[in-house]
Amino acid sequence: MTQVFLQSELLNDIEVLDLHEGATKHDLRQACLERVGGHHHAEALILFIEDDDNENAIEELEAIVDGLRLHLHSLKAITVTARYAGRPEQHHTFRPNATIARVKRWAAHAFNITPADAAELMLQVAGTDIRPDGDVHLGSLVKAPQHQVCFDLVPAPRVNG
Amino acid sequence: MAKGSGHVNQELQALEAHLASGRFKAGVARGRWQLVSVTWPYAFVKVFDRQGRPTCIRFDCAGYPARPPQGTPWDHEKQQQLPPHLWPSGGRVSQVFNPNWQGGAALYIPCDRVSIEGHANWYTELPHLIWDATRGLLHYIEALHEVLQSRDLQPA
Repeated sequence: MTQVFLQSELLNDIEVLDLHEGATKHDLRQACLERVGGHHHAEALILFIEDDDNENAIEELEAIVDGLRLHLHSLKAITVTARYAGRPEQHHTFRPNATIARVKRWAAHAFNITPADAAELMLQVAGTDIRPDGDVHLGSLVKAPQHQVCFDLVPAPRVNG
Repeated sequence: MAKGSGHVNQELQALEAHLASGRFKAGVARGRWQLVSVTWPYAFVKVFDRQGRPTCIRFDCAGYPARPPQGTPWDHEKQQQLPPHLWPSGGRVSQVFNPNWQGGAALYIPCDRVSIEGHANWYTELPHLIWDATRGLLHYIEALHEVLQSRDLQPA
């Protein structure tokens, strides 16, 4: 049995799929579509590999390895706006399969924040108190036809009172 | 009135469902945390810091998931609370892992059952850390993992 992880705009959280030994790429795609109930608009959904910008990465995959992380989304790109400490906003376009950890690394770099200092910051969806975990995919937060999202880089909590 | 075994079974089943979730398993696969064991009402989970060192947490999950768990660092081999000098420390890490708080019986974080008591201000100041029963134990574990990635973490 091979376990793969799936995220999608059509799922509420990370899901595990168990594939039989010898499952093909076609089997993989069908299993993903079945999990999200997406058969009726299958052609509109793109299956990505986590943090891989190549939208054909699945087709080029040599083997379905245990622990493979996937994302199923109808968009090819999501525009991210990042805000930090009143500085000019930064913008970048990601695939929906980008992890929040990756988006945060980009935001920190864009604002010239060192990795050590970035460890004291978190991404928070603007206008909410949602601070998504680093493993969450951008596309899990942005459901088509919405195609953009804004984050604030905020200090990690100090629980001192 | 004492709770019947049916309640316990429901609580344990809810915990086991969260521990079997994709989100928990994805974190295990990434080396962020690891289930050690479940001996009701306790769940023992190792959470890894930025240097890859594990800290085992004993979560008292009685009343799960309606009631938040109560967490404390734990020596699983000796089945006792981790001695204070072995607790993770440094900057904001020491704020959460504070052996002087409640005698070390609870971590000083809003999603902890004991620590939320008397901290009404946390509901507005730290809303993302208020216990969310739908996310369950992952909520607590992810929060601890985030704290343990702090640059303030002291080396072993």
